[in-house]
Amino acid sequence: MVSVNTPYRLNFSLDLSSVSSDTYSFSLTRLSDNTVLATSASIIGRGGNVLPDRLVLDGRAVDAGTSQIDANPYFQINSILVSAIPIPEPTGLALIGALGLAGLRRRRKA
Amino acid sequence: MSHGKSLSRLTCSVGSFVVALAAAQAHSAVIVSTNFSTATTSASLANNAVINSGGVNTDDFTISNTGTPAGNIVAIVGASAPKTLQFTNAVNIGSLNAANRINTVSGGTNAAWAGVSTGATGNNLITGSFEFVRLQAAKTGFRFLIGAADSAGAGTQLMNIEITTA
Repeated sequence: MVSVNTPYRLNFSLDLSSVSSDTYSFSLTRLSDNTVLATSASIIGRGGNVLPDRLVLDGRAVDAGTSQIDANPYFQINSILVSAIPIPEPTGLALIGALGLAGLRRRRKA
Repeated sequence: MSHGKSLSRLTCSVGSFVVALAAAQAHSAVIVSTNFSTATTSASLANNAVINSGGVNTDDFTISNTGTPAGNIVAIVGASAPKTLQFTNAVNIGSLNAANRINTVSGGTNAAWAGVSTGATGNNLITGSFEFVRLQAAKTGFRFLIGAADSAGAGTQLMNIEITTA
């Protein structure tokens, strides 16, 4: 699937909002023709509501029988963009909703 | 009260609610944004960092995770089982310390990635992307991890995407 000397893009998202189980999803796209080669969503990670700390690209060979140590590079990466989007807590959303309803009721009374 | 007036008030209130909700949605914060400025060996990507293996040096990314994560690993498998996803359990990434690195070409990657440990909080949606090129047919894969760790190095693997071409 991943050919030599062909650029690809990996998109991912990691949802840390749950207190019970964090999930992630990804898609793999071949850039030469924008073909999406693989997608997967709602993959259960580990733990719940864990503080992310390390972002790691592990360049070690993952295939059996290949030396783990090699002086020559075998993957290159570029155009890295990682963002965190704060998710409003449910209590905050409930408060906003209540304020909106209260405002609506007040206007009706007026 | 006319229907038109009532509808107008309802629209106004709903509008206020939408504005308030939009205001509550915080903007996304960029943790890492890197385009490496020094060209290396790939003709396909002009500016690259090179994922390598070998001994640790000052430009390495290191992971001090000593746990045994039980989370799923996603393997995108190539020719022998094309376009399938494999889910396997439990990999010990504690032994990978010496090999987890990006062999920098400009010395700037440490700074670029340092924000990862400080820019994110618990209730977050972490999104991102990167481009990559495989250079050697003999080397068939790599892993992309996001983990959590405390100051003592005990850690948790939150996400593990493994791309292989075997």
